[in-house]
Order: sequence, then structure tokens, then C-alpha cells
Amino acid sequence: MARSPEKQISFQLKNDLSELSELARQLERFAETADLPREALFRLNLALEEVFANIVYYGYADDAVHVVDFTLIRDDSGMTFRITDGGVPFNPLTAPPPDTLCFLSERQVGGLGLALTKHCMDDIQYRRIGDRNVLTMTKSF
Amino acid sequence: MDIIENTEDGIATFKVAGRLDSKTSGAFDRRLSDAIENGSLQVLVDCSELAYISSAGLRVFIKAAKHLQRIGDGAIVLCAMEDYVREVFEIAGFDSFIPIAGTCEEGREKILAS
Repeated sequence: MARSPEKQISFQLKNDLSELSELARQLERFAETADLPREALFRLNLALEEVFANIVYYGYADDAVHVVDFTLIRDDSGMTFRITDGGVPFNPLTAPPPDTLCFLSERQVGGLGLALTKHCMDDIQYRRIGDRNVLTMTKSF
Repeated sequence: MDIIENTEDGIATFKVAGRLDSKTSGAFDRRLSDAIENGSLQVLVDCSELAYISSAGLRVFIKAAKHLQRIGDGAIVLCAMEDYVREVFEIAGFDSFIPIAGTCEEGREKILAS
């Protein structure tokens, strides 16, 4: 059986939550290219928003504009998503940021964003490469 | 995100259409908090046109439920959400704290029975 060609898109967002609508637009473009069903697009958007929002909230101490790089790849076996930023070293897998609103009665919801991201992905790897955080997430078909 | 608010039979209904994400959830949070603060203690959220929700959106609902719990006399019920939106509530375990009705009519009945 012939392998279908790899589909890939790359884009950049500024570290500002107003970029979430651009993120959604880019993911719709990827979903169209990669032929993703609606539910898969929803989960992808959820995972990437949670990661991106963490970078916006915790990545940079200054008020300057910084750029976050996204690369999304689809091949025969599944999808790979790479998010790279130049913020402070931050491994979301070992250091979930504190939630200010953290309980209903005693229930803890700290690390909620990470839990949702993990649910949407099969595997998440963090590496610090030079002065960059590189998060690679994969989802098999 | 658009919010349509109306009150019927003493139940404040919010229809949330579009996306509840890290950017838009704040506006919905303010609308809901203000309504509860101003005495709307029976709240129905119509999610039939809610296309997307992230953890920021979930927090709005938990905050409202906590607010009503603190007041001690009130109820919030969500209704008519898509399966994949409901899944987010289930992963977070919020569906055991906040009732989710299949239809808005069932939601109203749940509130009136509470």
C-alpha cells in the first residue's frame, strides 16, 4: 500500500491570549489538510490551548512580545505536535502551575489543564534545548 | 463567544454560544458572578451552542457552583451539551458536582425539583 504523503504545517503565535483565535484558525487549516474529524480537532485545540496558555501565563517575566513556534505533522501512523518557546525553563509534566481557584469543597483541581492535555494525547515529552523549551506531543491513529 | 441571558419562572438562563477559552471565559465569569451576586440563585446554562471549552471555561462553572454553595441556597444546572464538550467535564470529574441535563427542559425540571 502506498504511503500517503506527510502533511505538515508550522506557524508562530505571540505570547498573548488574543492569539487563541489565530490558534483555532491554524488548527482548522491543519484539520482540513490532515483530514481530521471534528472531535479530533476539538481535542487537539484543547491540548494546544492548555500548553500555550501556560507559556503565556508563566513563560516570561517581562512585558515584551515573544514568539511561540508550533509545528504540526501528520503521517501514516499518527500526529506529532511540537511547541517551542524561549521562556523560563518549565517542564509542565513535573511542575504543574498552581491553580488559584483550587477546590469545590475539598476537591483539588490543580493541574487541570495538564490533565486535559494528557487525556487528549498518547505521549508528551519535554526537553530543554539550549534556551528553548521543546514540548513534543504525539497522538496515534 | 456570545451570551444570551433571560429569566423565566425565577430561573436565570444563560445561553453560551461559541468558545469558552482562556481569552473569553473572563467575560462569562463576570456575567455569571454578577447575576448570582444580584440574587439569581437558580441558574441554567444552555450549552447547545457551546462549540469549545478548555480548563479556563470549566473553572467558571466550578466557581459559580462554589459561589452558590457558599450562599447555601441555590442551584446551577447545565444542559444540552455536545458529547465531546461533556467529555471535558467528565475528565475533570466536574460532572459529579454540577448536574448536566440532556435537554434544557430536563434542566429546568432538575432546578425546580432542587
